[in-house]
Order: sequence, then structure tokens, then C-alpha cells
Amino acid sequence: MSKATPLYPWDRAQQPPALTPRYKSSVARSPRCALISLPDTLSETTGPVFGPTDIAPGDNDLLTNCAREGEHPIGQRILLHGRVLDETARPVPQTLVEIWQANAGGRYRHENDTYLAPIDPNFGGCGRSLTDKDGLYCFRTIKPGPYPWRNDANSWRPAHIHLSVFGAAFGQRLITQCYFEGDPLIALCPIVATLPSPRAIDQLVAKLDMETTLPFDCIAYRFDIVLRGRRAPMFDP
Amino acid sequence: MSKATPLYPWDRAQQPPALTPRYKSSVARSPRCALISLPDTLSETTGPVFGPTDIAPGDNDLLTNCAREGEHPIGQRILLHGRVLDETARPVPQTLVEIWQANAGGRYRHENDTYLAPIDPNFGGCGRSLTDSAEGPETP
Repeated sequence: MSKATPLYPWDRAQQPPALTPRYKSSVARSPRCALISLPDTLSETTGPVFGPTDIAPGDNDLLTNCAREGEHPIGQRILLHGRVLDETARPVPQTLVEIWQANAGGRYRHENDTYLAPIDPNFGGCGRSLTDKDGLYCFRTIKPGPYPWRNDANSWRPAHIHLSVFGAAFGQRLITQCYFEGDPLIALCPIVATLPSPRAIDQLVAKLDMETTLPFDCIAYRFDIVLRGRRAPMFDP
Repeated sequence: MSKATPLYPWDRAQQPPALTPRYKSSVARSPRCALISLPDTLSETTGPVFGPTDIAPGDNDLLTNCAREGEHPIGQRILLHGRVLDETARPVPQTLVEIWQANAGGRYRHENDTYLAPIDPNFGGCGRSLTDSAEGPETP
């Protein structure tokens, strides 16, 4: 399959609309004019391409990648793993998956985060991984905590991990978040509420995975990711 | 109400049975014989009685009661609160409520806990509080 095969358009019925006033900061940044449809250009369908030389061993282990020698961050030890597929259910191999998250108390290691929960000296909150030939990725981390944010007077984000997935070409790049099965804050979140259907919300919820859970070590959550598909070539010489 | 008024018997239909083999350690410690019903004795219906002098201010704040000065444990900050009532819906004032728990990673500060999640140097995991009398609970 040629890399320059056109991508499917976004399925906007599965994406939240740009203007969702209950999520207040969407108002200022949403378009005021009708969208213009542009065809994909070569730079969106052919790259960037990442490989094993772009990541270092341990980049997908947030328990150690920012910890002092012999120490670990505090919090629930989890594996977050899953498969990256495209809309035609083809695995997306060797694609860069990046994550960032708050610590167990819901505090980001970022100068703009002033929440009063403390920084964990052993936790950075960023990691990256390449999918394998079957599109599988895996991170070891701690489960982040919920945190308050300034939307309503008492808004709390459900525990979540941010993900960026590049796919085989920039036009497939996806920035998303995963939530955790059973979190009662999911149903209360104004950002989650922008999603157009219960199915779309369910697709953003990582599921408890006892088959992958490591006994006496780490609970596993499974989170599969679907990127835009690509039309098959008209002719296959 | 006199303190020596008899207590209602336990409602055993609401309690787990003593022998629940899927919970393995219940097997060795559950009774092998039929239970014997004993009436309550005076020592069971009159005390102990606790009061404000039995607890110190801050005993109900696990964010600070074992933390170094100016530091806090790591994990989701929560308030756990409620009301203590008896089966007739009477509030139970001035009663001692004690709690103990693992830290944010699921590790108890106890020598028998060998789980590989680390101890939080700022978290002990124990607290206690007296229920209030009328005007509202003590908040940390």
C-alpha cells in the first residue's frame, strides 16, 4: 500500500463539535465561520516516520524514567496497554505513542499547575513508546488522580492520561485522553460531555484487564486506539 | 435512655457468614460448632466512654498527622464523612471513630506489608475522630 493513498475524512459524528459552551474554553477557540474542506497534501499523507532510534529503552516506563535510583513514584502501579489500529482494522506498526499525565494526587509537574497537591519527586509524568509489528503498545505508570479545574465552581477532571499518536502520516495524528473504567467523575465532566454519544465516551474509557494484570505487581488497563483509515489503492500492480 | 438498656441482637442476615470458602482465610478462623447465644453483660452495654480529652486536634487529618512540617502525602485529597446512627435512626454522639488505610499506591505502613509499592514518608494511614454532639462535625 502506497503511503500517499488518501486518508478517509474524519468521522465528525464521532468527534465532539468545536463549540461546546458548557466546556467554557471551547467558546473562544472555536471557529466563527463555516469550515473549508481542503484535500490532504503530500506532507500530511507521507510522514513523519519514526523508528527505534527515536526512543530510548525505558521511555515507556514512567515508574523509573524520572525516579531517583532505587525509588519509585507513589500511587497505583498500572500497565496501560492496547493496540493502535486504523479504521479498516489494520494494525499501525512502529508508530510513536506519547503520553502525559498528572501524578497520583492529580498534580502535573508543570509550572502552570498550582493545585495544592504535592509534586512527587520521583514522577515526571511523560513517556513514549513505538508500537510493535502488530500495533501493540505498553506503558508502565501510576494511575493519575483527578484534579479540580476552573470551568464551573466545582469541576473535577476524572482521572485521565493524555495520548498523542502519530500514525503513519501526520494526517492520522490523534491527540486524545483515556479515562478509567468505573470512575464516577466521568459522568460529571463537562469535557467528557462534549462527546456526541455514549459509544464515543465508552471508547475513551480504559478497561480493567485482569488477563494482563501482573500478580502482586501491577494492575493492567486496556485501551485500544483507532486512527483514520486510508483508501486502498485502485490498482495493485 | 439508660446506658444499660439491652442492645438489639445482630441482624445476621445483613452480615457475611463466618465461613466463606472463596475468602480462603475465613476457613481456618470460622467456628466449627453452632453458635451459642449469650445475653449482653453490663460491661458490654455501659462502656467504654470516650470524650474530647481522648483525642488530639488534628487526629482526623491524615494529610498532616504523620507528615513532615509543610509537606503532605501524595495522592487524591479526599474528605470522608458521614453520620453515625443506630438502628432506630438515633444519632450516636461523642463516639470514637478510628480509621486505617493503605497509601495512594496501596501500601500499608506496616512491617507485614511487603507489596512493592513504596511507603509515603508523609503518610501514616491512621486517624480518629469523635462524632459531634449537635452543631456539626469537626472538619480538618
